[in-house]
Amino acid sequence: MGKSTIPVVQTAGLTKAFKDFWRRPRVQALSDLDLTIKPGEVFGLLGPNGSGKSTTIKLILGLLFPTRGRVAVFGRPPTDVTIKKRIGFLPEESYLYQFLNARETLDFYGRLFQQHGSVRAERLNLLLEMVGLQREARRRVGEYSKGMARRIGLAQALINDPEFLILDEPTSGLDPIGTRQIKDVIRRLGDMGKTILLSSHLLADVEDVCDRVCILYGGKKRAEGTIDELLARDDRTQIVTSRLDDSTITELRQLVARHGATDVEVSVPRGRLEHLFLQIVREAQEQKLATSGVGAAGALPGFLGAPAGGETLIQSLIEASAARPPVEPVALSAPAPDAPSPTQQIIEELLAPQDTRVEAEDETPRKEVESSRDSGTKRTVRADESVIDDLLGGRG
Amino acid sequence: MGNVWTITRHTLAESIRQKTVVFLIVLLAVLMLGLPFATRGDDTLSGAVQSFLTYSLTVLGFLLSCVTIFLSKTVSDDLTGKQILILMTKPLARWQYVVGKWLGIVLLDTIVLAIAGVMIYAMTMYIAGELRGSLILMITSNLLQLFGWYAILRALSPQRFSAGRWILIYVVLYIMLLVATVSWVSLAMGFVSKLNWVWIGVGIAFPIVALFMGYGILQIIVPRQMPFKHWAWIFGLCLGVSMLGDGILFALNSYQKSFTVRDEYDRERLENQVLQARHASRFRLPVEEFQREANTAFDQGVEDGRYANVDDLNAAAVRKKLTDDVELRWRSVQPIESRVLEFEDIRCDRSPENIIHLSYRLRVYNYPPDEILRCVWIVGDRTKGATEYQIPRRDVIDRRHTLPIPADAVAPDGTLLAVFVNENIWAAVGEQQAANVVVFEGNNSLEVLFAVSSFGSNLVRALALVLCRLAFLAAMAVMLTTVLSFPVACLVALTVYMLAAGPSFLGEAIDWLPDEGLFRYFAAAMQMLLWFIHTVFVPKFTLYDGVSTLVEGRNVTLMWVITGITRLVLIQTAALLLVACLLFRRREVSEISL
Repeated sequence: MGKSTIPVVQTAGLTKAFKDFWRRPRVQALSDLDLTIKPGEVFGLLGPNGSGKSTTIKLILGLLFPTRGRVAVFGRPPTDVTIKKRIGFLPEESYLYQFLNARETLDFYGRLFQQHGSVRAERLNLLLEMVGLQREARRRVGEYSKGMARRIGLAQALINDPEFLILDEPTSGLDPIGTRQIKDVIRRLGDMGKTILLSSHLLADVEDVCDRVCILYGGKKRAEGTIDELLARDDRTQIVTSRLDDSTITELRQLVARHGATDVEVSVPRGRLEHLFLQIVREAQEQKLATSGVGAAGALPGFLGAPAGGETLIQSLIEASAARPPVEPVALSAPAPDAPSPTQQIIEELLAPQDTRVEAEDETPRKEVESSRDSGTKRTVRADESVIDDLLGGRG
Repeated sequence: MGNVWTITRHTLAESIRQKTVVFLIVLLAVLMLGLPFATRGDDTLSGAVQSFLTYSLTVLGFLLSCVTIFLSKTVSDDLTGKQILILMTKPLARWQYVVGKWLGIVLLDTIVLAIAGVMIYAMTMYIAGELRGSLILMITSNLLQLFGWYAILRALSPQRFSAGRWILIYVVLYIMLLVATVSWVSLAMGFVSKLNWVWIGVGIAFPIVALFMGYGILQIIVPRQMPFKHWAWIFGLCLGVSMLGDGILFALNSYQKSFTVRDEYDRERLENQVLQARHASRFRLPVEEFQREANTAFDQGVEDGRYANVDDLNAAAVRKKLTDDVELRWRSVQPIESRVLEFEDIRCDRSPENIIHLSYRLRVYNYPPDEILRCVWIVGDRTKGATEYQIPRRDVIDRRHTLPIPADAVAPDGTLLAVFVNENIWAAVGEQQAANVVVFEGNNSLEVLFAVSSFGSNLVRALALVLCRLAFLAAMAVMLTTVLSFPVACLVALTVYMLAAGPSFLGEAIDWLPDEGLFRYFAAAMQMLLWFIHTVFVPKFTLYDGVSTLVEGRNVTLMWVITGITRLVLIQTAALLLVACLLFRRREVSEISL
């Protein structure tokens, strides 16, 4: 499958203002968004509540029409019906027909793609196996729990083996197992060259799977770029080496000091997406930019028992995270082939200061563990993916 | 096109599971079973049949219209429940969605109409005594048991039916309906005169039904998880439903005795007039003769000098008045006079056993004191090879009377000669009697009715007209729910339905306006507006109502059905669907309403 050069999604000056009954614009959901999603990349759309993430997705899908600007999906307008064959969409809530059961739901959506009966049945079974709902397949969707409904939602998004997958808050409502599964699915699909648009609040998940991210606030794009670009800190030089022992480190410090560089820090060389996110939001709030979503949090009301004070919640969070010491350099530097066993790592994580690291969870069932830290990429974990392989036909 | 069918199937499945539809079917079944006993008409059997037909068809039409409007809930549920968000991200065009929804509703209406049609026919035959208890036994008992078993299985079985079993149920129903549809269509086309095909179809369908019931029994026996007491419950309930069904059967059977023919006249009326589809043929008005006579009189008048002052402008008016006078004289029959009336194109079976009817309503000026019209009808032209019949009559005046005559009064060339002799002579003693003049006022004062089709096929055509109206209502409801919220759309749709089905008093009121000055323009403008509304938005449903025609035993013509299909369905419904598609295309389905 050759790589096409048409960007999967291209928006130019995309603006959306929600009007009331008298056609007056009331909510400026999106302003002048220029976005490009290239084929084969996993793209993350981030922002606080109400920043326009869902609006962007709905504009891309043709569920809303832009007030100004243009959006092109696979080079065509989003209302074109033929491109819908190549798209899969998982909405943030599972909007499924309550009176159908899981099999009938998937069958119904499969029919809309004009799949033959045998193809449909086969994919149906594989998808149900993937999401673990074969046994509950005959129950009405109305009786499902939220997590089960989301799983069926994921299954219907994949039923046509889409080139472009749009996931709106995919991990919301899922238990940790489900979260892990979704991330595996996303990684695997990304490896196969599919384009994925991801919108999420769970920053660590986004950090793990995405190639590029775009951060929105108040309907405007505040930052865009690859994870590396955004999280890099360019007033410093970072030299990443294999694991060094103490004496070598001391020597290096002396060498660097002799050349006049100050403030040497030997640590795990990786910034935190969370820091960046909070910084951006705080900057925007300090500039008092317009937003239709969540604004700056005020002081906690007295009757809730919190101490009265002028601190905003965000401020306190930033200070708290800044106050955390950097990760222990020696104990948790790049793991060698004789890395501690997974259990050991979990214990160490628990003993280490509170951190938003979630890699430990992910690594438990892995057969081999590679570092996501020294390579800076994220797609190196392998899991038991035989089912997903079968499902996706192993195409790449 | 496959996508349209997918949405149709889906809508049908969704609608059938709606409680309103199930309730409607149950209500209709109860009504059909109970109405014959509640509506006796005028104590004659033919009257009972007529009143049952009228009530059942009217109620059916009304209930189905309301349910059709409510079924547009599927569209508004999709929009408010946001299932439309996922649906619109699939390769489904918006017009396919709209048409699919409409088709699903119409399909459900067709199914309900078919079921109701069979029940109405069966109950009519039951009342008329033509359906022996054993046949009702077979049909109703099996149907009731089928529904009862199915409902119980569905409710109590811990394993919900899989799609395969649903398909089996639908396949069985579709096969039955397919056979019924073929029968209906061939009946509507008039190919089959008696409903033998339906019975054949029913006979084919029932082994399949029995097979399904056996399969249902297996479902009770096979599931491993079901404890024994559940089996006992299910079996007991099924047995109870069967007994209920048979009990209803038995009651129907025993009550059939209450429907008896009152007299020979009643029987004749029932068999030949009510349970038939007859065409009405009108007498020939000899217009050319009138004009000839009028012209002769005019010329005579000119010659005589009476019309010396008449110029060319008024000549036409004078001629017209003379023609009208001649026509009036022709239509009036003085005492002891006779009038010859001719009918053409009477294509019927000319055997003496076949009965045709002479239907007349005559005006008598100067009422006879006992309000009885004495006359003699002489029908049949011996010179053309028809048998002549002389029938003396004493009829109450100012009522419509129907006179049965054997069909061999019709000549081989399809003409019928009828001579009416006014025999109202009064030899008064001591009182001046005015002459009782009989006038054939209006062109339907005398008709010849002859059977062209059977009751069954007439019923099918009447129901087809009902379906046309329902298709229109479904399209309108779907169009409204794409842009309005469900309650508002329902109210608007119901209002349009009331306007369409009710009398057009607005039009009549406008006719009453004085015909002068500004009123004339106002009336003209209102007439145009009303015409526009009636053509585009609100059709006149009364034009497509075949119930009274069916009940009087007159033929609901195929042409009428075709006109209904063309105007209501192909034109107006298609226009509505087009508007709905256009509206839906521009609708932001994910709109946040502020």
